[in-house]
Amino acid sequence: MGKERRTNVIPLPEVDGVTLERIIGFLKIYTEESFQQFTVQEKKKRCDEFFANCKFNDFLTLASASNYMGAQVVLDEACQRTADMMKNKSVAWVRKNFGIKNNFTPEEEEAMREKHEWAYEGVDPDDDEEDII
Amino acid sequence: MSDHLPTELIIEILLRVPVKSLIRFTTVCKLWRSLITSPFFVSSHLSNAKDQTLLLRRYDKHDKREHYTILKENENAPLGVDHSSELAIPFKSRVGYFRIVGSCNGLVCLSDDLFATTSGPTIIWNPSIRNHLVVPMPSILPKEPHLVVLGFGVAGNDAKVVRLIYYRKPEDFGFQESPEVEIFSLKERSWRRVSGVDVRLQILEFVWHHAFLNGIVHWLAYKLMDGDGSRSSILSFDICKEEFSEVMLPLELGRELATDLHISLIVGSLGVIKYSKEVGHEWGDVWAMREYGVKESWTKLYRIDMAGGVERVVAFRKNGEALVALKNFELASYDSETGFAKSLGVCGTTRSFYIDRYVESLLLFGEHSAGERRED
Repeated sequence: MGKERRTNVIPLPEVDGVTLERIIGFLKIYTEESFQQFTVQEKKKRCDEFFANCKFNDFLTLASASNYMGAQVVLDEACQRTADMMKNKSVAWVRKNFGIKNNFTPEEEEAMREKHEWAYEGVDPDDDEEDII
Repeated sequence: MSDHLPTELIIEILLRVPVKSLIRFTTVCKLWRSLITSPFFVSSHLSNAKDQTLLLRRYDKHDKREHYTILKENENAPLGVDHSSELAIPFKSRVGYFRIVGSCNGLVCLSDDLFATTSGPTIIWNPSIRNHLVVPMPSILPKEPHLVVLGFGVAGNDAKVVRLIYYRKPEDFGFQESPEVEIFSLKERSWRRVSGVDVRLQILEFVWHHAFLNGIVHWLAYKLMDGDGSRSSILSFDICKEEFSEVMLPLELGRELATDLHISLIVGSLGVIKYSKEVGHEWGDVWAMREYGVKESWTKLYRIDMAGGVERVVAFRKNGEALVALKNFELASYDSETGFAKSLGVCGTTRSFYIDRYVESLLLFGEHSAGERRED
């Protein structure tokens, strides 16, 4: 950093450093000409590589930050990855990872489950904690 | 993340989640339930659908059941049939299999009127969420001999079944030129008569079926001319406007007997197949109306050679490739350039094959018809 005073600093209280780096990093990749030439599968592979170390909560933070910043391509990517990671999870897992309190009574919940029991089958077991904050 | 995510962000994420998971997530909390079941979310989720899938129905004469399967469309790759993705169907037709009136936005309209002498129920079914609705009894139930034709479509946020009743003329066993019409709307949950219908086109008994495009139902029809002739045409019904119209066929198709024509959809256009069934001259010409409503835009695309074993055309893939039923009860893809039909390893009676574009949706979620959950 030079000695001259920076006058163009834009504070982003909603976005932490790590997340900001990720957003910028992803945008850099996304706007590369070589990336734009990739096939759908190649693009996915490149993105998978970029996000390899991200956990579920990271995607939520990324979605939130890119939503706040209006970075649409990052938002799309973060939302898609969040959706992919959560789609086979149990209701309990979702509540835990989104920080949601259950406001149904046990009877209400049971009645709802009974109507679509099949939707609760084939769900990932909740044993591992690696996706929590 | 214990801060509450903005609702708009939750929606953005949930729009990318498949329906089975969404149904489960309605029990996460009350907010999520109201988000997922809101009409706005349901229609946005539908618009978001990216996967190209097809619904296949076939009747297996060995186990005497109809089977519904979802096929994944991979452009230009051979169509893969995965029998493990078979859909559970909670109802059974009285004899044989259901007539599939049409399918749209993840809803399939079935009518049990193909085989028994009296008409059975009409059902609107969403296979991806396993909900269905048995359409209540219609209001026009004549004792006199008549022909019933149904149409089904989703437009303007409503699913509708349109019912045409053509009365037989006592003098010559033909039908009255203009039908009585009533409509069942999912929103209104009841039948409503449509008056002032002045349709001068008739529809073939029993073998009728339709093509749904741009919110409009299209049936192959014919108009009796003075003398003994008839002209083939297409009768259309706009689901939203609830208006009938006619889509003209070019002379080459219009002068054919309606029994030799079959209406279809080909890569987003209305299509007609003209069959020749004379021994030694068995073929099917595939025509498409390139510009909707423009009679001059009807174009012959290619000829399907049916001398070898092709019985009929079932549907067209997104890339225009024809899917055909073979005389040996198999489904095949037809290569118009080589003239070869390649079996897809799926069996069924030739008339029972039905294939249409399919998408998962949440329409009818929460619907249960009284007491008709499981029937073996």
